[in-house]
Amino acid sequence: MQYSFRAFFKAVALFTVALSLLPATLFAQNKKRDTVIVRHLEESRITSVAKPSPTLQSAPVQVLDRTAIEHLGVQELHEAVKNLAGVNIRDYGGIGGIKTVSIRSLGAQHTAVSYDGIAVSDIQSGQVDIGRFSLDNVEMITLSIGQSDEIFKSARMFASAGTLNITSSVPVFEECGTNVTARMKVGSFGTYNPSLLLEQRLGSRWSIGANADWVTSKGDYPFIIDNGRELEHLLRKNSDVNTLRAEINLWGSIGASGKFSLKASGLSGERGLPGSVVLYNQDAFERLWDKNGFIQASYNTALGEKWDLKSVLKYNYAWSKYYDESQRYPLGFVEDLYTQQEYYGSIATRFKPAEGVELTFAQDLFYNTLDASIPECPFPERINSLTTLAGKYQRTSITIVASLTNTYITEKVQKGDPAPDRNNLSPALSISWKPFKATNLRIRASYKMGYRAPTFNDLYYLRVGNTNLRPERADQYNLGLTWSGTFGKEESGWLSATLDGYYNSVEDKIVARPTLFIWKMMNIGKVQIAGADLSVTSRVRFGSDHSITLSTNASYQYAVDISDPESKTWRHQIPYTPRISGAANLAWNNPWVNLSYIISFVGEKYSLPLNVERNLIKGYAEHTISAYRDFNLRRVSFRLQGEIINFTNKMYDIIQYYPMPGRNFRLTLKIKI
Amino acid sequence: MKRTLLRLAIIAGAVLIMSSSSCLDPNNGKEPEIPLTTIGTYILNNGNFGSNDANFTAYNPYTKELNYNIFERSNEGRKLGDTAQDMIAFGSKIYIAVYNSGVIFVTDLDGKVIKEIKTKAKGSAANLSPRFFTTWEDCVYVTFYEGYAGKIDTTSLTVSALAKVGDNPEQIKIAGEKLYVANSGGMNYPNYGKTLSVLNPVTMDVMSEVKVSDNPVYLESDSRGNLYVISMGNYNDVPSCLQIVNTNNDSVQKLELEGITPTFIAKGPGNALYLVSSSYDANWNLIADYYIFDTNKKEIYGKLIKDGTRVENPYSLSADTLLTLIYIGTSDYVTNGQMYVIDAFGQMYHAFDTGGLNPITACPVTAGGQKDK
Repeated sequence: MQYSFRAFFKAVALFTVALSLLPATLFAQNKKRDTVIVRHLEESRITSVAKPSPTLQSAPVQVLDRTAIEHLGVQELHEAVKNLAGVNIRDYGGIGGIKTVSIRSLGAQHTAVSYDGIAVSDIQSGQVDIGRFSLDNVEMITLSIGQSDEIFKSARMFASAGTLNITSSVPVFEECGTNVTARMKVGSFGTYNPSLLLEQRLGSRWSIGANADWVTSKGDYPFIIDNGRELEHLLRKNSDVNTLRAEINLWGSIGASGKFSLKASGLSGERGLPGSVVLYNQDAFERLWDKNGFIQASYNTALGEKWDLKSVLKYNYAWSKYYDESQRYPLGFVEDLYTQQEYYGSIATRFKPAEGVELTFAQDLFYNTLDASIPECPFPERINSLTTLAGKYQRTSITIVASLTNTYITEKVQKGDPAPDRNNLSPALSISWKPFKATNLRIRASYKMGYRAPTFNDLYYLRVGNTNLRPERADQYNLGLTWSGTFGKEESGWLSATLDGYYNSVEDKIVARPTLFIWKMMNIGKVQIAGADLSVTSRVRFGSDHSITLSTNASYQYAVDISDPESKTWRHQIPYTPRISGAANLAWNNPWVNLSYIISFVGEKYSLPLNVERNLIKGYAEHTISAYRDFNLRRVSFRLQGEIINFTNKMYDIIQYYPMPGRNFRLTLKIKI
Repeated sequence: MKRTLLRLAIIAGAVLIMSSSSCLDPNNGKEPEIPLTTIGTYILNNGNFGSNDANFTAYNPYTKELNYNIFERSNEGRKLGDTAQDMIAFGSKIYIAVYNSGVIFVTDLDGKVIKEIKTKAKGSAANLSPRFFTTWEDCVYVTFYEGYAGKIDTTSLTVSALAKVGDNPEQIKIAGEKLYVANSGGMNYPNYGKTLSVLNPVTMDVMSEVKVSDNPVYLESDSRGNLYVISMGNYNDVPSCLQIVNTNNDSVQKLELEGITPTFIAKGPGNALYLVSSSYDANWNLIADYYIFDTNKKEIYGKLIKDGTRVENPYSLSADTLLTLIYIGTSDYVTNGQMYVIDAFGQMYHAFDTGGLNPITACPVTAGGQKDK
């Protein structure tokens, strides 16, 4: 506990020093406005989605737009997400290590990840590995907790407890109708990542873009194992990665208001799985191959003055092969193949009957299949129908959003019994209210009844699966305050702050119940979560060339097991959930070299349900510094960016016995024509 | 605290010497013999797979005193490793099979490491994963999950002979002067192994195979040279069963035990063989019961626990045949294991926290008796 407080106080001390740099005339509240004005646009950017405002929304939303991402100096999605409040990332280490996102201790299966508005899915495990997304062509990342105020979207985006939305960039052309961007990244442990982006304007209404990148990394980072008197210095073995990604996008305008976009994306990769560190045994031969491809098309248009339509079609194919070599297997090795397919369609309509009133209706239908080569695989197929009715009433000082989502699931299997059909109705309600005219202070409250259906692994995995599982229920309550405003002369500075207290309760949580021979998935978990998230961001401009950005967030999570009062883990903190966590960032933009300093700190947590010393994972703080500079040579623009990640070389684990890399470097050169 | 066992041995030995020297010299001038007795018991905790948390605890069955984390305390904080499977005391040394760490630790009676034995099979760079031990004459035998049975030379503390047996061997026992290995085939589920390998314990040659029911794991011998085998079945349509192998002709007889699904077995004094029976009800709750089997009549003698003590979630069964104490290890996989010690009259003698997860065996350490190395 002491260590985590020390890290926390170091962060606070840093900010006290930083704050003293700001000019004296601060925080004069702007009386007229209640919108946030962003003043530091370096380039005009067209985005397909309007940037949500963290302080206006009736439920917590955090946004990182392109500018914020650049100021942070991060390059990978997980590096950006781990700096957001209320987020637990489980990272198994290294570039190839799987990374999943859980929001407010609900578990990664309650978080939906969407790419340009369309869900990325994995119905087998229910968790998305965000390690495979880079930020190279990402315009905006949005994390919504509970329900978001944007109600004109697919029904699937209403169905989860939280969503992480990735919005990719739409090309901007100057006089020349062609853009070429090439990047080369080089990093520690034999990491190379060249990439290429081509964008071409096709006439006045269409454009096309294609990008490809290749990541290869040896991943043999040093780490330390503490075994009694000695410290063993070892290198991570079998941690290599080799992945090729490619994407083609087509955008076009049809008619007066129609917008069409088509995206085809593919990924092919191989990685070594180093596994957990086992004392006295460095053998690691597990390998994983992934081949993924999807094609998604969306068409949005206005139907008359008051009606709008959004439609989406998507097909997703995911193949993976797991291989392990060991003489323990009678054949000397084991190889498992998994193939998942998804067919998805969605139609959403919006009706605006009057000023400030919006009604939406969305219907999604999707079909999932799983083929696995493991013994006794029943080849499940699932049809999922989601229907949402939502309404929003928005005036200057009040916003009310309500929605009702119905889920219907039916399954079929080739062997054994399928899970029974399921029907579920989930309401959500949120309100944001500005009580005083004079200030931008807003109060918000929200409620969402959420749930998640069992995954194919939960239901059908050999021996462990249980077709009698009920869906997990996750009810969320949030109460918060937000404030934003500008200050200084000519409004050279702005500040936005949000403070939310929340209570979540998870029932029928699906956990593996251990018994002598067989571990069975059962609905025996019950978790009670109470917490608070504080988020403060401020940007101040000095003259026309300099600006300083400070952002910080801190979270407190009390997430305890309340399944059984007789149990020894009654009211013990659930695994991998720190009580305290947070991040702080200080960035200085100037004409010479833009600098950014990030501290991310995570308090103590436990690797197993029993909160005892032997299951304790120590808290840590990771420091990263990054710098970049833009150059221009005639029509070619260059950016040179460098990072020292974890520059204090802190040895830490996020998951017990999966050590994270110590100090490592990354250098990027970007050329844009 | 570290030297508890040795101190106990000295006290026990002194008491016995004093009591025996009160007679007129019955040994005709030779040194008086100290009767074989237990000087202490080590309780080995398997730990969680992948958590590097295996450990063992010292238990004094006379005073009921417990001392935890013996290995770390005797080896300057060094850990035992990941998933300790078995432990045996032989010749003033303790042998511990740490399965997932791929190492056999040989320690003195206080747990201080004398040697780390890492074994490789021909043509392979990986260390073999040790499972179970047994002893015979002056040798210690061990199985390796990669399909080998090894003989450990107790002087040089190396594996002096390695024999290829069936897939995923579990327990190994001597019966009728032959060495039997249970080939479970556990990593090949649902196609479990169905054989025992029979070896010559001196030359380590594999002489033959005996066909048994699916997934043979636990072996125990009686005083008549019979071998008892528990096959765990395939957790589906083939249930677990208890079989007797007549070691004269290697014929196998399945024992029909009404209402009993045998899981664990341990040898008791005389004709006693202890059995744990466990099965699942419709809601996946484990139902467990405990019996004494008579190896003379080849039938169940009666229940083991006679005072109504309920022992739930059994994880292991061991017995101290000298003191007639039966150790039932229980586990909920989350918190430290609980050990229930039952005495010769079926009464609960003591129940205690084992100081680690998943107590897999109780290893009585003896002294006295025939002079051993």
